[in-house]
Amino acid sequence: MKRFAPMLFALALMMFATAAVAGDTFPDMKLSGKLSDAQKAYLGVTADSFNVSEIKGDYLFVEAYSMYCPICQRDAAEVNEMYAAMASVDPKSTVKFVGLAMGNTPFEVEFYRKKYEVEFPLFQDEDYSVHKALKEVGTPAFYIVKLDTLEILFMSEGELKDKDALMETLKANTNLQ
Amino acid sequence: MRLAISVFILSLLVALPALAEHHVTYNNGKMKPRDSKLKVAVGEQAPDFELPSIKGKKIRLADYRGKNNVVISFVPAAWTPICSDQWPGYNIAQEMFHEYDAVLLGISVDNIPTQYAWSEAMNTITFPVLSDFWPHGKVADSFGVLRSDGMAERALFIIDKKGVIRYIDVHDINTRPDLGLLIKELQKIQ
Repeated sequence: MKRFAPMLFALALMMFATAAVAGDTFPDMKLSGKLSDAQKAYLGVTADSFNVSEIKGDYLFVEAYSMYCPICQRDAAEVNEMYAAMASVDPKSTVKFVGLAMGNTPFEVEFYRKKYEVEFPLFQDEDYSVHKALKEVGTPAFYIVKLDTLEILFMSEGELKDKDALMETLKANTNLQ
Repeated sequence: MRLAISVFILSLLVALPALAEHHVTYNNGKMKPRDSKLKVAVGEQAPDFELPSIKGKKIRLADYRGKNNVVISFVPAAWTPICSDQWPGYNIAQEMFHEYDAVLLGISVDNIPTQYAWSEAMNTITFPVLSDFWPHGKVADSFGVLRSDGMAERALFIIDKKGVIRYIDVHDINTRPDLGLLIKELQKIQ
């Protein structure tokens, strides 16, 4: 009967598997948003629409969120604090922050940006193509991605329970420590 | 066998906290997009109703006459994915409704205890959440948005200060309406 133990363990893990894990490749999908000139300069792009791989930088910190997600609403201020804190530890902005609004229209993205005073670039997903590319990940989800290879270095799905711990994870994964 | 069961339980204990971080919902799967026949039309007087809210008060549509425009959001069922997605968005967007002198009323056919627990799980819904539980779906039926399975449609109505219906969207039950379109319709009645 001992042979059932690993099977049941695997079954339990499959039941609770997340959409992507560290080591997977982040999809090189097209992102579209209404970006200010400063945000375009921050990402090193010239248009409002481009592929993830066109972003200039060493690392990408991605928040997959939705204006409609109550947990994302609760987490918004803390993610803003993380973005603000990065300015002092990463003055050259080697880590780029972006928010991908799962299933949200441009109107909904703009509303969320104003409501929570989000300064980093946000991208719409009117046809859920981004959500599908991210294997219908639950929101919020956070990714740390190495931009030259698009390797996912870290991923977590669910409420941001410890902002400081995530910040330390971010620094550890991006050579800022 | 005892070892196998122990390993399985241990595995669940390891994995469950990750699940608990999410708002748990029951997925109905894909449903017939629309399953009712409207009994009202744009330009007609909205049927009046009085329903209990989760805050203990009874809310009557006619009480808003001459004071506010009213947006009614019928949703099919508490604790389901799209409904649990729709109202938290409206909750944080109430200031936009207020800009157009509009109040938002949320109605489902669930009973008050269910609605209350669900509202709390969604960051506390602060607009009136009204229970059309008993007589079951009477108000939804008066608008013609009660489905044959006893749930309400995912439907939006804008009713102006004179009590006249100005906009109807009986939406595909499987998708969330765009907030931007609703706000544009509110702008039109100013």
